[in-house]
Order: sequence, then C-alpha cells, then structure tokens
Amino acid sequence: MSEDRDKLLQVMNSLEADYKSGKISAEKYKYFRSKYEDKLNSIDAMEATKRIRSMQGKSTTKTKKRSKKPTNQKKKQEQDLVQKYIINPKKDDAKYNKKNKSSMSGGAFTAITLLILVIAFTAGVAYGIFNLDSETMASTGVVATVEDTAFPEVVSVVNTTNNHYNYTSNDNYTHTDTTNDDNDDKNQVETTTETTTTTTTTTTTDTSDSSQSSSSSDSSSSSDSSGSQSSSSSESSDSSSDSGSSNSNE
Amino acid sequence: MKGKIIKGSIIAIILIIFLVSSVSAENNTDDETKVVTLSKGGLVINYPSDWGYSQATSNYSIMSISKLDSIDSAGVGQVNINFEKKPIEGDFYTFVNSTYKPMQYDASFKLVSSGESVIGDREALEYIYTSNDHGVEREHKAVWFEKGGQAYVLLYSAPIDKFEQNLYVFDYILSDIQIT
Repeated sequence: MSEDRDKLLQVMNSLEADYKSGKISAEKYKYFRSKYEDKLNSIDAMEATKRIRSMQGKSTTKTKKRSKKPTNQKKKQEQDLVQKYIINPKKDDAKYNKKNKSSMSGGAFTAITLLILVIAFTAGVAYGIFNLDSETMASTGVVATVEDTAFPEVVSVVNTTNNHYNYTSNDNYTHTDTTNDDNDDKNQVETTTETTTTTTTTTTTDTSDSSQSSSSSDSSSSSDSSGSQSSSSSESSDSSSDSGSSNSNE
Repeated sequence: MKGKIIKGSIIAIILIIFLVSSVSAENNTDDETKVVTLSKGGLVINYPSDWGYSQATSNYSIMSISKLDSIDSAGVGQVNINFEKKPIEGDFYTFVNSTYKPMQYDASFKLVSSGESVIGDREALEYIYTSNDHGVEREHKAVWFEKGGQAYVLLYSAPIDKFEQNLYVFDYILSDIQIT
C-alpha cells in the first residue's frame, strides 16, 4: 500500500515538473493532478480504515472463510467509516450530502406546513366570525316581552261608610241617614263613615277623623254624580250643619 | 429515516394541538356563561348570557332583560329586570312614595319592605312588594335613584317561588351598573 502511495507521489512530482517546464498545459495538469489526488486520498482512506479496524480490535487480514468479493453491505460500512472519521474531498462530501437527502424533499415538507397553517388560520377566522355573530345576536335580538313595570295601574279599593247622623234636639228629633255608596266605577269603590251626634241643645260630637272627613268630602263629591240617594245625604249633611250652627247661635 | 420520524412527529403534534384547542374551545362555549354588556339611556349594565334583551310594554322603559328559560310559550318573560325612568314631579322622595301610596288601597299589591339603598355613589330607595295578577303571585324589588330630574327605577320581578333564586343577578347588576 505504501509502495503505491510512493509511486503515486513520484508520478505527481514528475507531473508538476512537466507543468513547470511547460511540457503540458495547465488544463491537463489540473486534470491529472486531481485524478492523482483522488487516488492518493483513497489510498489514505484505506490505510485509515485499516488503522481504525485494528483499533477496534478487528483483524485486518482477510480470513479464509471470507469471500474474496466484499458484499455491498461491507462496502457501505467501509464507506461510512471513511465518511465518519476522515476528512473527505469536496466531491465525496457532496455525494454524501446528496445521499442524506431523503425521499421526502424540503419542498413537500414546506407545502404540508403551509397547508396546516392555512387550515388553522381558516378555522380560527371561521370560529371567530361564528362567535362574533352569536354574541351580536344575543345582545341585539329581542327574546321576550316584559310586562312588569314600576308604575303599575293601581286599582284602589276604599271602604266608605257614610252619614250616620244621630241628631237629638229639644224636640227629641232623631235623624239617621245611612248611605252606602256603591259606585259602579271600576277603579274606585268607596265607603265613608261619618258620625255626628248632637245631644240636647248645643253639644255636637264629631267622631270622624280627618282622613274620614276628607274621604267623606270625596264621597259627597263623587256621589253627586252617582245618584239621587247620595245627593240626599249631602243635603242632610248640610241640614245637620245648619241645625248645628243654629243651635250654637241659640 | 430519523428525519422522516422527526418531521412526521412535528406534523402530528401540530395537528393534535389544533384539534385539542378547537375541541376545548367548543366545550368552553357550551359550558361557560358569558357576560353580555348592554348600554342604553345612560345606563351600562353587564348581565349573564343566559338572560336576553327584551321588549318592555311600559312607556317608561329604557331597556329590559329576561331570563331565557323563564320565557313562556306566549313569549312573555316571567323573570325580568326592567329599567325605567320618569320625569319627577316635585320632590324625589315624595314622587317615589306617591307611586306606592295607591298600592295600599289595592288588595292585589302588598308592600313587604322599604328602605334606603345605594347605587354606585348615589343614594337610592328600595321597595319590595308582591302583586297578584289573575291568581299569579309575583314579587318585585324596585330600586330608585334620581338623575337629571328623572326618577330611574330598576325593577326585578319574578314569580314568588323563583324570586330568591334569581335575585343574585339583580344584585350583581346593581353592584356593577355604570350610570353615565
């Protein structure tokens, strides 16, 4: 092996001498030099392989059992070892890089990645639009009618018992007028109670309170329009007050 | 070979992340109750998304909302919050009291309680009363406040048996309302 190497080096020296003397052109010199360099590298690689194998404890000598022709697998292993431990010329390095490129090229991977991104973007946009629509519908769409209000129509029911006059004069005249006003008005049913008692000459007792009297006045005003009975009650009220005043005058 | 495995696993991870995120997003929209904002007539409120915007029959209504599962077949909300305003005639307190005074003479209304309250930094009046409309007893909580010569009232109404369980929504709206 070393002899081959020495021969090769001698050839390369003579090649260089021929080039310097101008016997061969620059193109031929470059061509042959690269060729010899490749051969020299391969010899170096072989030597390195042997050294590695000897370092790994494997015998470098071929056994009898081994077939003369190395299998493809062994060749590959050797090439791998060379690639792994020896700095190769650029040509081999390029070849090795080419080998590493798998069947799935970078273009396909980029396309798949882009596809995934586009799908994710589309799905995100669609999801956003869907959510936006639903919220708008929820905030603007009228879902029901509300009948409750803080200002309800109140139907007031007021019990009014009106005009109980116990009038006693010197003539022992007693007048009792009881009127129950049942108004037909739907919104108001009023009953007013008013009691006026006059004993003997000038004593008049009014037991109705202020609210009753006010409701009584409401009653009388409303009863004017309601019927003849209520108008008679107001007349009697007037007569009683008149009599009361006359009594006081006396 | 290793390169293929790495690329394949990256793609698988991306797909899994996408699927998981989309599924979780769907679940979130189903389960969570969102908060919806409604702004009208100088009031800004936030309410849960299981309530919806409603149309009130009252002429004084600014806006109203109803609980979605309380809407009957006729489209009338049973659990409602109505926001109303009315120009004040005279003093605010007298005006509010005059609203409830006639109720004393109507057997279908019964005043449960009344008192003072606060909305934001404003003084307010609070009234709770019941009403009986064609045999249906309802309970109401009205909170009144004054703003710009107008009496604003927030009225929460519900059937008596549903009043307490939905009251927290009204209280939340009261605590969160923005009066602009």
